[in-house]
Amino acid sequence: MKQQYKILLLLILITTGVVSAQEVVVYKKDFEVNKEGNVTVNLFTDDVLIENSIDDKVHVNYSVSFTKYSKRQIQNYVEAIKVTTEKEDGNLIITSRGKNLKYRFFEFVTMTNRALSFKSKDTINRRKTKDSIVKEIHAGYRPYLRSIKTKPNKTKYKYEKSKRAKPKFVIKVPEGVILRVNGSGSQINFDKIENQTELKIKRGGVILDKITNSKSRFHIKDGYFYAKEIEGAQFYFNDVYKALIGSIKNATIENDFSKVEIAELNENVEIKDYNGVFWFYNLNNNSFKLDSDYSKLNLYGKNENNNLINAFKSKVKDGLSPAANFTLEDQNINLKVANGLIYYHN
Amino acid sequence: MKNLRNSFTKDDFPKKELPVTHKDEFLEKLGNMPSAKKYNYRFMKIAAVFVLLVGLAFVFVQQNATDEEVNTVQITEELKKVETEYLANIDTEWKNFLAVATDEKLIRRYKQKLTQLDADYKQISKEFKADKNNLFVVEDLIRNLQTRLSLLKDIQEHIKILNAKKDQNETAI
Repeated sequence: MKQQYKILLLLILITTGVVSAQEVVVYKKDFEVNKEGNVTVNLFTDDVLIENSIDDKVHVNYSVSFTKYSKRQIQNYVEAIKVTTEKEDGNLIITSRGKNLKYRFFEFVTMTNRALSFKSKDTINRRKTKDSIVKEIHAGYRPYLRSIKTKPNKTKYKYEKSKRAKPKFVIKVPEGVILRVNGSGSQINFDKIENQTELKIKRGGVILDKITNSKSRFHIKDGYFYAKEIEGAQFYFNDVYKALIGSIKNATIENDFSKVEIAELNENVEIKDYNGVFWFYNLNNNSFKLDSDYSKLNLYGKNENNNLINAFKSKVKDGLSPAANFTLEDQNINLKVANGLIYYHN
Repeated sequence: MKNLRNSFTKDDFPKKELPVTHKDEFLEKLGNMPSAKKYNYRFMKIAAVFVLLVGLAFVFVQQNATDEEVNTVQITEELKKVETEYLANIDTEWKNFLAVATDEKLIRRYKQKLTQLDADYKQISKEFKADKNNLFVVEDLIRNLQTRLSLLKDIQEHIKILNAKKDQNETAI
């Protein structure tokens, strides 16, 4: 390479100062806690993965992987993340405020027309299996930005589109400790957690693999909830705009104004609902308790010989009005439907 | 010792007269000689301009990256328009709902729900004022308005189907 080109390349590199890929550790610390103590996690606009610890310690790791960020941009980004920990009497409190993802290279055109042409999409004609629900969960949460019409800002797009900041916040907790998670505008992911968990989240969502602890309680308000497998626990949904459940048994759901899809409804499930919408894709169930008022119920497999389908059909026949007002008490099936609408699908 | 000054006489170096055209011939020859290789300043100029442009572009992008990424004035104006239209529609649908609903418990629950959603909206609006560059907050605002409107529309549709069933039963009797 000629000398001039080498000088030119060096000058360009010095001028831009862009780091192509770099991982920055924001916070990393391990804590010893009481075996039956509490670990409280308070999250504000942040995403976290909670998983089992291989030892008796709580591990808190927060790192961000940057692509094509300048040093100054990395510094600004990292400074915006606040992680604090407080240990008291063998209990641990972790508080985190993350940096919100921003659609940096988009700008508004208008949102008036599209935002107002909103139409409720309550009908799902396609029957879902547990596998398809799991697939949907793996696809991840899709932001709700459909209502906001944006266009790429060309002057920034080319530069910005290649930039990426990928935060990774992982908390590992040992068996036995009680988890208390409070979230606001955050996404909380659980990976096979068997600890007793008390979760309260407002705006944001919960994604969990499998939950087995019957003492666990999840309160979700104005958010989304994805679960592959539920084998215990109590759930309180309020304005949950999308709940996807692969399979559920030995659990209770108290639901207000929420939309819940369940692929496999198995034994010992109790649902109390007010003005919610449910999709029961497979009713493999001989013990079910439902107490509903102003609910909309979608039942799939209308031609299948199924105890629950038959129980519903004995009260509300397919093809006639979906309006339903009845009480049915069988050995294990207890249905109370007031002011309901029942739809049968194949 | 022999003096060297005496070793040469003037005749040993005969003086030769230069021709009159000597200077012109010299200049002519000089002019015809291939010119010496000049240094390539053109490349350096291009390189300098390029580096300058890259530098300026970088400074421009850096400034923009730290400034507001989206046009917040535009967002605020658009949001205000959307909010006004939604609230007008919600008000209309609330009146329509009251006109068809006869269940006191249902009316009370909906009143509570709408009041709570309105309080949530005010809270999210505060967050929006603090961070107008966060489209997730904008999304939450829009979803709050959409939820209110869809709840009112859906429940009216629900009541309509229930009433149609009642009418059928009454006709049958």
